[in-house]
Amino acid sequence: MRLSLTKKSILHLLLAAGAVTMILPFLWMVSTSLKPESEIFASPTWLPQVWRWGNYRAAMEAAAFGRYFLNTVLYSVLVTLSNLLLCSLAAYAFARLEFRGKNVLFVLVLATMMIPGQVTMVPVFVMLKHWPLAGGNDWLGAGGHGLLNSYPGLVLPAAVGAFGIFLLRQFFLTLPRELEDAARLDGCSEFGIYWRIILPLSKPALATLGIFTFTAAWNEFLWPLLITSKDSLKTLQIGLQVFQTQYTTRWDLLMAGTVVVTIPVLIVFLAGQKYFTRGIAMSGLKG
Amino acid sequence: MKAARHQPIAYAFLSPGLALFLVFTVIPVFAALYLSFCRYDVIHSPAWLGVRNYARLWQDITNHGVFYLSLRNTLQYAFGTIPLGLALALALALLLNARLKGMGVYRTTYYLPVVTSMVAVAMVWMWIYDPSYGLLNYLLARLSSGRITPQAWLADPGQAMAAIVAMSVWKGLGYNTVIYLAGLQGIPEHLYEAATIDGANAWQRFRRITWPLLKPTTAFILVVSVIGASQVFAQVYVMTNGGPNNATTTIVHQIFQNAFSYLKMGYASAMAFVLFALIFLLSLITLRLTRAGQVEYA
Amino acid sequence: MMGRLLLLLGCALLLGCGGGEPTAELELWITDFSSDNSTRVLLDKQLLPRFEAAHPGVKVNTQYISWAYIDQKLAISFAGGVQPDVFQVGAEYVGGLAYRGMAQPLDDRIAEWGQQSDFFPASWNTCVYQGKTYGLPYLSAPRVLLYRRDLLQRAGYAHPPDTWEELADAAQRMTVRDGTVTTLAGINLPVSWQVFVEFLWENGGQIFNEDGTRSRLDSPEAIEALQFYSDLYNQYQVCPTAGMPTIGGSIPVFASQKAAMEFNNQFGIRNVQKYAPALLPKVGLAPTPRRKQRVVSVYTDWLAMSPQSKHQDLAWELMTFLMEPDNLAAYNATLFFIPPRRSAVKAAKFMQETSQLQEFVSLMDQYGRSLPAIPEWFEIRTGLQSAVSAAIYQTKTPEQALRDYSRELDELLAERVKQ
Repeated sequence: MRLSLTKKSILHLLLAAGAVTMILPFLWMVSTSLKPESEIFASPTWLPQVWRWGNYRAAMEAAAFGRYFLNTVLYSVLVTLSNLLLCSLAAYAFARLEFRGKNVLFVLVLATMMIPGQVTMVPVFVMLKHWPLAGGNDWLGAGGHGLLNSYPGLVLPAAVGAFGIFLLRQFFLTLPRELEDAARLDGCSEFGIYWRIILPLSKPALATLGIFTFTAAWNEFLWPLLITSKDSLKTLQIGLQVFQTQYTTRWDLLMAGTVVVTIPVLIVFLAGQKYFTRGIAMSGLKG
Repeated sequence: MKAARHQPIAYAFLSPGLALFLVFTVIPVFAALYLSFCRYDVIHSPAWLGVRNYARLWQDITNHGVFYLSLRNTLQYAFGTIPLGLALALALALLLNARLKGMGVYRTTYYLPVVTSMVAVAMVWMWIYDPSYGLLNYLLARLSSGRITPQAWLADPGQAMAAIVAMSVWKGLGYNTVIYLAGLQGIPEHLYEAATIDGANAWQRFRRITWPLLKPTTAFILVVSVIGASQVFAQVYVMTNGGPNNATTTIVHQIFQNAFSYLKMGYASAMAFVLFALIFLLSLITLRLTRAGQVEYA
Repeated sequence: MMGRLLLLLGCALLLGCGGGEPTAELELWITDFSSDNSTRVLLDKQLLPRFEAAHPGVKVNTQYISWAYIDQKLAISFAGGVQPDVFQVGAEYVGGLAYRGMAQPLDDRIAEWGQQSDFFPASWNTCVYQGKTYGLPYLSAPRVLLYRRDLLQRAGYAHPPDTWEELADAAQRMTVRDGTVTTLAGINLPVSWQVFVEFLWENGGQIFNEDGTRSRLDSPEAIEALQFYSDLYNQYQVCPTAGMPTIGGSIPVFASQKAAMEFNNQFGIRNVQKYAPALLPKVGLAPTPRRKQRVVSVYTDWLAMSPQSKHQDLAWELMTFLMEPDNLAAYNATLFFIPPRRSAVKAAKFMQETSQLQEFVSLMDQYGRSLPAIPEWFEIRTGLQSAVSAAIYQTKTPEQALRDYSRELDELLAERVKQ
């Protein structure tokens, strides 16, 4: 749909005004990250009087951020891929397959989203610690530290999320059945339908889930903090917390660290958001 | 038998995800349910209490104790953030769906708050709300030529929750917008073209095509928002820690304090299941209201 | 033969190739660390390598966990059976840790060590529960009255206010208002249960009875104390109003010259050093005003040992190593705390550099008092904070707030007594 010039200008105006509200706090964050500490609370100024690019280096040197970066990337990518695969499989079953107990199971899946993680944290931790045949445990799960302080311990509890199953199931339900029915008549297996028809049509939803999962995993702080004690496993968010203590906050370093930590996720978003635009998703449904 | 037609295949599809789900989500939930009937200080084994934790919660509610306050605050938060967040997200998604140059940049800008960690965002907003040096009071004073006196915001029991609501709407806007954007992709272009040929204007196109076809998306966002808003915690913990004077403590904040500071994990688990009942009820109501389901194409 | 060789090789590989496994690994949790990295540099690059060099085969794995998350991490670790060997906790912790068996009583080791007398009693008592000592004090923060000598003199006071009456009077004289907005507060008091406890003690009152089983918050002394606190806010109106940065905000009130006095610990001095160094010579210290007695409340962070630690002797050596006067002084220097032992105070250069810090020490030594050790402090401080807030914000009268909370507190304490 082509828009007239006036409509385009109004659109730009509205979006720009909103964007300013969105971005204002970040501009302050970036400007703070470039100021020396003494200048930060002098008065609300936007441009630093002294541009302290060194804050970025100081922030990165405060802890093993290189290692943390690798850990965070690995963790986020693994959790995202696992969610995309496992949630889509389960969502396909809920949306398109008939089996006994389907509705009860789906309600159960939804219901688990309604229990806050604070009360399931301890059982999961104990379970990980007593995981049989891992981390020095015998087959009864005693003696060692199980899956604590390990990548599987970090990734497995987050590998499947009820949110992903819910999102994809709702999306699959909106897809028209004609293509699938045709494929079934042609003798295609359910897995073939899933892999060759449903998934390609679901790019917007998969992109959405992928971005959300990646963002959540990237920003996940509490669970890695509780599961890991070795520095070699820590993530970026844990690294950032050293700038904020009970008594003081090194705003300049904290903001510099936050800016650096936020950039990769933004890149992922920029890459993924093109799947929200028309043209890619609708191939195959017209006509 | 139709019901079991796909049974073996279904289980094949479900099993990897469901196995993990069972181990890491379902079993811990049932463990927590068991603990809600116990006294459990994390150090010693759980001791069976029967329904005593729930009885105490009921007492607290009838006496307007701190759990009651957290219920009230959580509902305030939910009613503050959900309608506003949804409406803004829909409007924004419609705007961002236009095929114009630079939309990618705009979308990224609106998603920026979502992408940033809650702790960093909360700290920035604590500065914005700072009574003396904060951006908000500064702007208000400038815009009103000094007539608006500095407000305490997070330090004022009457304003603190509203302040947290505003910050949360700001942070969550991009999230729901993205979901709406994805949902908008599912509306076939030819429907709009046909309507335009028939002479429908923008508002009619929205009312007759967009809004009804977005119902499943809206229902999804509503349910997810209800579930999420009822469990609000991080921003409360960082910005006000439940204060001032219990004005911002939420249910999950109470759960957190009881579980880890007071080491009353059993009592906290009971709170969690009361919360669960509340969320379940609200979700049912939401689904009823939106009567979501499959949408048929004419 | 081959089989046995392979088995041996396999074992060697399992035990870790190249470098050799440490014979013991100690887990140390630190909750107090400076945001500019100096604490971590001190521990990770200076102190702990020295300890490891003196104990070959021992590795210390340090985790820095901020106060916001320490409770969760502690609870989960104890639940899972992976407790740290040595961990740092705060002033309210000893009762709960001792009661639940999360900290090891150390009296025998302390007697053998023989250095207890070097520590300030108020700091030491923070680690004591029912006669047994569960740790070693690490960082102390005494709370005193900070005042601006110049503003006080202008108000006609040659000496800092000594009694409650003088406090209220001096504060009123020094308060400057511009319409309804207070531009200079007579005294900066946050709305805090800690301030209430100070007034309570100064009035000769107690929070609990002798054995910590009943509340004494409904006593006349307590009600008077809260009434006075509330009056400072609501009747005399000498405290900061909205629009003034509160403690914990961006620039503290006292340092930004918006208050003439405040109750604070040594961070009050550091704030002045940081934001208004020219003001420092004009800032004086005094014990918080008395009514029936003089009290300086002291909050101390301390190190505890887990009873499940597999290397208790080594853990004790780590603790005493960190307690050596020079090491203790260096650690406190990174955080600007008062070292809780006399020899460490002498060894601390930063203490000599600021004259007011020495006064903190003498006040702490003379009048210092720490919180009574009670297992339920976390719940109590939340409830007490609510009661104090209710009185200050005038949703209840001080008497009503305290009577209501006192009843709750009795129930809470009774639960423990019942078990």
